[in-house]
Amino acid sequence: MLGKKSHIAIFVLPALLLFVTFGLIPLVTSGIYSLFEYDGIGTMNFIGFGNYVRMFTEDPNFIRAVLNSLLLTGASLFIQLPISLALAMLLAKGVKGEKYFRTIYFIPVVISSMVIGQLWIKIFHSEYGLLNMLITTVTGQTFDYSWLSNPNTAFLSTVVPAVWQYIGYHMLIFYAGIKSISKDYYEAAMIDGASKWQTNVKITIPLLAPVIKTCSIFAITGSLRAFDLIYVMTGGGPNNASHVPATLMYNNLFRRGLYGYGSAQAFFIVIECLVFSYIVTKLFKKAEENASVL
Amino acid sequence: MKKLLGKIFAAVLSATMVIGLAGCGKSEDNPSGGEGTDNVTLNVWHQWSNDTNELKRLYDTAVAEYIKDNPHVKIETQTLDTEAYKTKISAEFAGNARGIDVFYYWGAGTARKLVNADKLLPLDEYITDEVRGRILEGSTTAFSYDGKLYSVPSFSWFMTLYANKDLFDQAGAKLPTTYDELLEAVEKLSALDGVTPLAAGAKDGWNAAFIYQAMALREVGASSINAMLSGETPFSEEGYKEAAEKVVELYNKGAFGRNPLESGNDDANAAFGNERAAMRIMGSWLANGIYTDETATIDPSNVVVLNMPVIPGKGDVTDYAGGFVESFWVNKNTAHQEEAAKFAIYINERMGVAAYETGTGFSGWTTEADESNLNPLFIEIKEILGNSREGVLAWDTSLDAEPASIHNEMVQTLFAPNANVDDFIKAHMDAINK
Repeated sequence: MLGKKSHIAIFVLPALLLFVTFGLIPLVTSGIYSLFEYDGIGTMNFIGFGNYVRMFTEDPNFIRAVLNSLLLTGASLFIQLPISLALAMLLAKGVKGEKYFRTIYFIPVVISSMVIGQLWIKIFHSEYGLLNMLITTVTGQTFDYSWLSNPNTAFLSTVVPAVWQYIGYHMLIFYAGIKSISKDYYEAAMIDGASKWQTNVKITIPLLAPVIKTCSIFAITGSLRAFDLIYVMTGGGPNNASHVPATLMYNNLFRRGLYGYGSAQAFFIVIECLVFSYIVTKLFKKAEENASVL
Repeated sequence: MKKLLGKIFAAVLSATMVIGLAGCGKSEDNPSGGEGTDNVTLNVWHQWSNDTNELKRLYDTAVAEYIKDNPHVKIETQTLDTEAYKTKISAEFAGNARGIDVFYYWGAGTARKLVNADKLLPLDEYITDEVRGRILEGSTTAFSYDGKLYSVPSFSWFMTLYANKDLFDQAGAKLPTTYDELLEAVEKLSALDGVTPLAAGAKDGWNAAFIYQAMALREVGASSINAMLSGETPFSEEGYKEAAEKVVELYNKGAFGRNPLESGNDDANAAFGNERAAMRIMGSWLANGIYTDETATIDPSNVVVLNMPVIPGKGDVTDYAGGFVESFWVNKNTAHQEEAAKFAIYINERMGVAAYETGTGFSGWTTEADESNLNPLFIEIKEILGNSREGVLAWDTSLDAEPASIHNEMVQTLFAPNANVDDFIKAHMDAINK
């Protein structure tokens, strides 16, 4: 009775409905709000791209927040992912207690960011923090630097747990990717006399290109829209030094009551994520084609 | 194919509408509740969410009595923590806030946004002459806008300096009455091991702001500050800059410990309650906490309350920080305006009297109250209040949301090394004089 296309339509419908009501419509409404001067309750004044202009020309906090989020992105890409990949390769080679380690590395991913935030606040505490105690013990002099309440180190101190938290997540994806590579390649390489290092660089990594691409996109978009850990640990302070766009947006929306301006920042985050995903896809196009040829 | 697509499109549209309707339907049904002719359900929201909170208990008792006297009224109460509560109320009133009939809120600058958007019900016609006669004179300023009264007072707060007499004796310091004496005391107290002279709790912006506001009160004086907060006069350098410099001076003398931005309100209260801090600048509610907090080790008889230290030659010793600002308000869109207004007036009076009887705040009503259980600290505060005349509310409740949050953030910068007072003043001018 139903044609093939209508089948598709029916099965797509539930997901489509959810996506439209909870994804597309809110996105479009924040896009619309971002063009207004609006306090969330009173009248809405249309000001065109005024909010966007304000963001980049009048708001030093926003520029700083964007730079912070780029720093976090860099740390995720060039510190987090390489560590994850290295761990995944080690584990996939068959280490003793492989399953055991896999679970241990994954634990931070399952713990709520609130808990992780609280844990690291304690580690960075000036008086009883683990870090300062360690420094005090090593140097023999009392060290009571407050990492999270000093504008120079507040943001960096949140980057450390942010990077640490998701190492296990990416590791698991890489691990699954490596496990799915056929053993034949390695056997052939061994017969040809390839070293372990050569098989890693010439077989594993090229064949893993699609997985690396996916992880890169996750890491980038995750960093650009980071919120929870930073909100818990510093709340964007002190003196707005550790904001990322998402915490600044929250502050503008709910503390300062600037709905229009906050929506503009929210919209900016969406655009930023899309642009970066597009760039990553482009960059990996060649590598992915090679991977599928092999 | 085209026809089919059309059908699917129509189906999607109608499904969306059904979902939308279901959403609306639910929220519209809720406030009216009962189907009986006279039965009324009121949805009431407040921010005393913690079960250990004295005010929550008092509220529940008052509601139970109200229901007993008005059997046709059902009260459904919802609570959230302060920050989440503020967010929730803003979000609800972006729409019609259909699920809220009566709600707790802050007057002055905070509720002005709601009044301007015509979201609140003026209560004038519901306040009988008899009720009006019981309202304490001068306690309604924060609730009246354009000559209309949108709420009635409940209880007020009063800022004092709490000091640990024991620690002062150990340090050989004198209880301060002037700013210079405060500096002297700070110097002596900081010699004590493991004791912060004055716990600031500056991680919470409003705690930091309290200390600055106390200095500004003495530098500038209440009437000038009130004129500035209400927008009659601009925020200028005069006085406000000196106040900021005094906070910086205190910080540099080690008054707040090395890293005051690391601990918030709760940490600071705990530090004072466990004798790790010698002083605390806080509202009158702390007095009750000193007696009721089970984790505190401090002997309440060791605590003294002092008027804010004065700066000789400036300000007026009768100026104070505090006043009436919290109360219950009525959503204009409520389906039961009369019942909601009646309840709001009732609960404000009851909470005002009950808060006074338990020593948490001062009642905005002349209604007779039972004073037998007042704690000694609270009686001391009451005496200081008796000698006070003009009050200034916390700035973040008087100003609009944006300057209020900029004020709290900028004050925090004074609690760190290399604070820049000029930036502080400039940020305030930009935000407040806009």
